[in-house]
Amino acid sequence: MSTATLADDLALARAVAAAVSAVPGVAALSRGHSTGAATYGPGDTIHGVMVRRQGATLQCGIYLIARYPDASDLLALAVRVRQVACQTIDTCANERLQRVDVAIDGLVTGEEMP
Amino acid sequence: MNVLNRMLVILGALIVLIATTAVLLVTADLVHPQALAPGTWLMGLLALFQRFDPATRSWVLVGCALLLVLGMVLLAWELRPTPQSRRHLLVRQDPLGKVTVAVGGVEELVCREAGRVAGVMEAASRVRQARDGLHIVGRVSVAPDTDVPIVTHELQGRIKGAVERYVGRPVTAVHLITQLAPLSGQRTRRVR
Repeated sequence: MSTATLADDLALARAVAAAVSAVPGVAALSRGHSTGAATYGPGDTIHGVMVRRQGATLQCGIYLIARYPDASDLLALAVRVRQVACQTIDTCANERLQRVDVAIDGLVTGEEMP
Repeated sequence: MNVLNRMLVILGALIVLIATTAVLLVTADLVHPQALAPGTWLMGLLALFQRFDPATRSWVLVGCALLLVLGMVLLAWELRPTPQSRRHLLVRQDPLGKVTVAVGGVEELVCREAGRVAGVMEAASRVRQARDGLHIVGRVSVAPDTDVPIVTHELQGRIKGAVERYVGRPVTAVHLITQLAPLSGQRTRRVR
């Protein structure tokens, strides 16, 4: 993979991370439990968003912590997160996401923000 | 630690275990280097350990024993199963991908919902995925003046409703263990 592609993926991951963090009900992005839930690039790492390419397809994994009790339906929250990720990629790179996996790693209340 | 790092550590631990065992066997004169070494360069290296004086041999044996223990501990640590709380429940799978929720997050939700019921002091829970739906086992510590049958009934309904609403998976069993004494254990949440 070329350095330019890595930098592009990093920029995409950064944009997705910013957009997803602003979704109501998302407390923070998570570092994942056992896997490296991050996008690595030259000199920077975006934790909680894993942008990867398989051939010509673009895929994304989003790891987050939901805010309790704001996120009253985790499935609905995940659907919103997917929509936001797809819109962000579409706007930033004019590419279509083929796959978006969402993992909700935990719940926190307002006072317990990570 | 990500998967690649974990695999590297496992590989390193295996190399340490194999090399240490070979050195141990040769130093203790249990096996001849020729029987272990696939190549002449390695045979020469292993033969060095046979030429040590008895005092040095003893130190090598002690060092090998320590390395063996260290290698086995490292290997066991890296191969340990993922804790139940870190496992994920599959909530949805469609052509766009998967949506999963950590079991620990659902257990946290159960404890928080239990804390909303008057009289509950502490809560702990375990969530298990079964064929027919989610099974929840909760332990709660209640205040001495609590009417236990009423509180447990309320807890069961509240926990089932909350988990089904939040996670979108059917809850088919909620078993509750109620006690007056404080709960013990790491995954206990004090709610009041």
